[in-house]
Amino acid sequence: MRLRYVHLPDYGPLQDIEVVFAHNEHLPERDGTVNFVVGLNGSGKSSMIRAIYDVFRNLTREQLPGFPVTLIYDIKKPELEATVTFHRPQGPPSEAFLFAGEWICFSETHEWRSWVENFQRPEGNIYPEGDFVFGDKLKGDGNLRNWLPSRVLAYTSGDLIPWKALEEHTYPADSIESDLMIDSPDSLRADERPQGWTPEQEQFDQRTIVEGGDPAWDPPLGGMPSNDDFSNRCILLEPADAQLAAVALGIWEAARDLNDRSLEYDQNALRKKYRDQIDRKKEGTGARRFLNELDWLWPTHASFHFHSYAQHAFNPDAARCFWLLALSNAVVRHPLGEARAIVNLGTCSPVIPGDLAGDRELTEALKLLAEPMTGARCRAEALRRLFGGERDLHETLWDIFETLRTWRNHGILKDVNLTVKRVHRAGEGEWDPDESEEESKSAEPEGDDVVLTYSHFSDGERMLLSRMAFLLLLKGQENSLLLLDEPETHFNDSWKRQIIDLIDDNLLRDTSAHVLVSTHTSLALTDVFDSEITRLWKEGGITSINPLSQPTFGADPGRILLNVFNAPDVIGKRAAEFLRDQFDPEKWPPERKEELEKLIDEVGSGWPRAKLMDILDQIEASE
Amino acid sequence: MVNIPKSRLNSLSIPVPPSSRLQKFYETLAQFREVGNIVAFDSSKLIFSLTANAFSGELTRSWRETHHKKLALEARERDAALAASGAELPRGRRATIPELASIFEDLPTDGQYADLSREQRDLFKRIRKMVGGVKHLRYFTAEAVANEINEGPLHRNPRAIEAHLAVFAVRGLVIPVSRRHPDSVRTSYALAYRLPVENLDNENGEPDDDCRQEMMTQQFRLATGDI
Repeated sequence: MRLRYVHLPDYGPLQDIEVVFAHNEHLPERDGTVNFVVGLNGSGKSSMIRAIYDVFRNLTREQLPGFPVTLIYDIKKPELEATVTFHRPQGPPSEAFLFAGEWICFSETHEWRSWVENFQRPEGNIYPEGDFVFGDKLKGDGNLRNWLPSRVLAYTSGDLIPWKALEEHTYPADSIESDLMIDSPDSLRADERPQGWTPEQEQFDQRTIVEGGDPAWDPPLGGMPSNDDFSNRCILLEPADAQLAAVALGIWEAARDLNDRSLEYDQNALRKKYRDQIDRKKEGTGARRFLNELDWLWPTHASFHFHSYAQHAFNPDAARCFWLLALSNAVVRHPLGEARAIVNLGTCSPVIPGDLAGDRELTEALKLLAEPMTGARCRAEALRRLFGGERDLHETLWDIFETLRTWRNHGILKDVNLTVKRVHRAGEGEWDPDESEEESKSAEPEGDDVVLTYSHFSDGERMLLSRMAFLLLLKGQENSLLLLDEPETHFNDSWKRQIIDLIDDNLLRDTSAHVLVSTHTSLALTDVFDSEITRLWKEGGITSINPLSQPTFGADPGRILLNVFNAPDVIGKRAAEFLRDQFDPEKWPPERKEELEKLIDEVGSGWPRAKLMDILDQIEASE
Repeated sequence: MVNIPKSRLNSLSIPVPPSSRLQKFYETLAQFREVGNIVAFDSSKLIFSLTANAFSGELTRSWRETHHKKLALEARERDAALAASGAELPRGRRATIPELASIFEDLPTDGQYADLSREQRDLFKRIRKMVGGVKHLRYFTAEAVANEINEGPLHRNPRAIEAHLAVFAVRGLVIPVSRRHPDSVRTSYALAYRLPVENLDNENGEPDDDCRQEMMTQQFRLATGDI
């Protein structure tokens, strides 16, 4: 999918904002697109990203967003590329519509605006030029489902409160009216739940189970999100999802790495290869690129901490839970009925599901779920196939994540973790100052790597891993949209500089996904064409679009700071004020030459230093 | 030392191997001595090995296994008699010799134990030596372990030990628990660890820490609609 145009007549701080999302034509062979929203704090960047998320969040729940909006995007199908127009004007739902028709090639805001204004709605139910969905008839419309993005993921490194506010539904007005018809208002109280309640909570919270009542959850085997429910297409990634995504990535990578390497010899060779990449700072491909930054070899064990299994009576995915337990090397009881299942991800003899389960008679449905695991040669691969079935390798990363997330939301899984084998760094902890580096390297016992838990990586390392895992979740997920609100927060400058390249390499090259990023970071923008940037500018309390006048691609970050973020200077104010005072040649008579030389030594390279050198040259010339 | 009346001692029955068995032991020993003399075998080594086996209970294992019910009954009678005379029994049972032996054995290298660093394996063995080999709950903390270790990078280094304990916890080799803190004025809970125990030694029928089968059965019944 690719975003083309958005018009927000009235959304929070954004009043009558229109944006055309351009696709750069310079970098060939990209299936995906990336765009940036930049601006200073309070300019409305996050609001714009949130508005787009809000539109899709509502549409995937088959309802209209509660604010006027026009959103136009492309959807790529194997046989055709279509442009989808969603228009929701102020007024009754019947005025809103979604239309998917031939691809449109407009590039200016006024063209898009007049396309929407002059759009002729169909008279009857038949519309020869494309698929048409009426705004007041969204429920159960197959066309709506067909023309929405396959996945929408939103991630913010900032405050979740405004995002969470979007998640809460407002009780429909017509239902309020029908409440008045009920005779006994007392019975309504039993239906009340605390604010912010979710269907998942209703399922696992035992207090809500009325005795003798028939619980309204899905039958045990059909409990995973079915095709009918497509609300899980649009997900707000929360901090708690970060660890799930990272663990999912760990299992997925281990499945790729270890399944074909059953021999110790092969594993040693792999270790040597990664170690070589890490030591020589060679670039790996895919996830390896940032795993190398973390000295990560591979995860050895995955660990699944289950909630008190009294709650499992409401487990809608018991069959797969059963197989996970069957794959476990141990399940250890924890206080208050909790339990932890440990799976050694390494190589094992080819998996035969029947043997794992013991001798008991298995029902067909149970067998069916385990079938894909047959013949897996490491437990990581068995897990991947258990969660992802027969699907393509890339798509299964999403499946692992989604399964873990569903289990957590249903109150079954409390926490997941990994123990990870990491390259042993000589000098860490036990460094001996008398020993030269060469010696300590050779004395280091080969093969004794560090093993630590995911939680023991540093904050920054976990952020890098989880954010990159979010990115990789969409790899291979055609027609997906990733909304990133300041994803580079907490990263060091080197990682900030790399982030766009990581997005480009891991996602855009071969997936028709759109990534929309809001950012403050000049460093990141050196990798971006100015056509890909939308700058929001706030003046007199009103936000407007302010196009860039200077190219950014390959520019010096200082230039970007000046041109894009309108900073008064590329250096800090403290330095600028002091140095400006020193530029007066009168201040530097020849007798202060030594002092000047000393000052020049203290000033970093850049134009202020050049200017001071100039003054020094003049002194030397006069001598 | 608590006084135990002689009448009580007289009433205790002590298991003695059948005299035929004892006779056989002497004969075998004599034979070995002879062989030792012929080939200049160092019989002291042999005696050492035999007595080690005798003390470890290895020699009488099969006999004890056949008579375990009777032995257990007698042990209970003994404890009751000691208790009646006012002797204080240690609250935690001491490890039996085969249990102790299992502590000194090397760790397995597969399953949960696979891929531990050398330092972690040594630490885990150390912990087993400290608190393992018993069938009741014995708690420890990183600090307690750090104080127990006399040398090396982990000596008095609870932070490094804590990181390893976290790995053990994720592996299910130790169980991290919150315990009510005894010294605090207000109720507070603090982190302690223990080893998982099998065949718990108590009368309340507390379940084992290995709950794999139990959970599998539950999920199986759920999945097949049996619950």
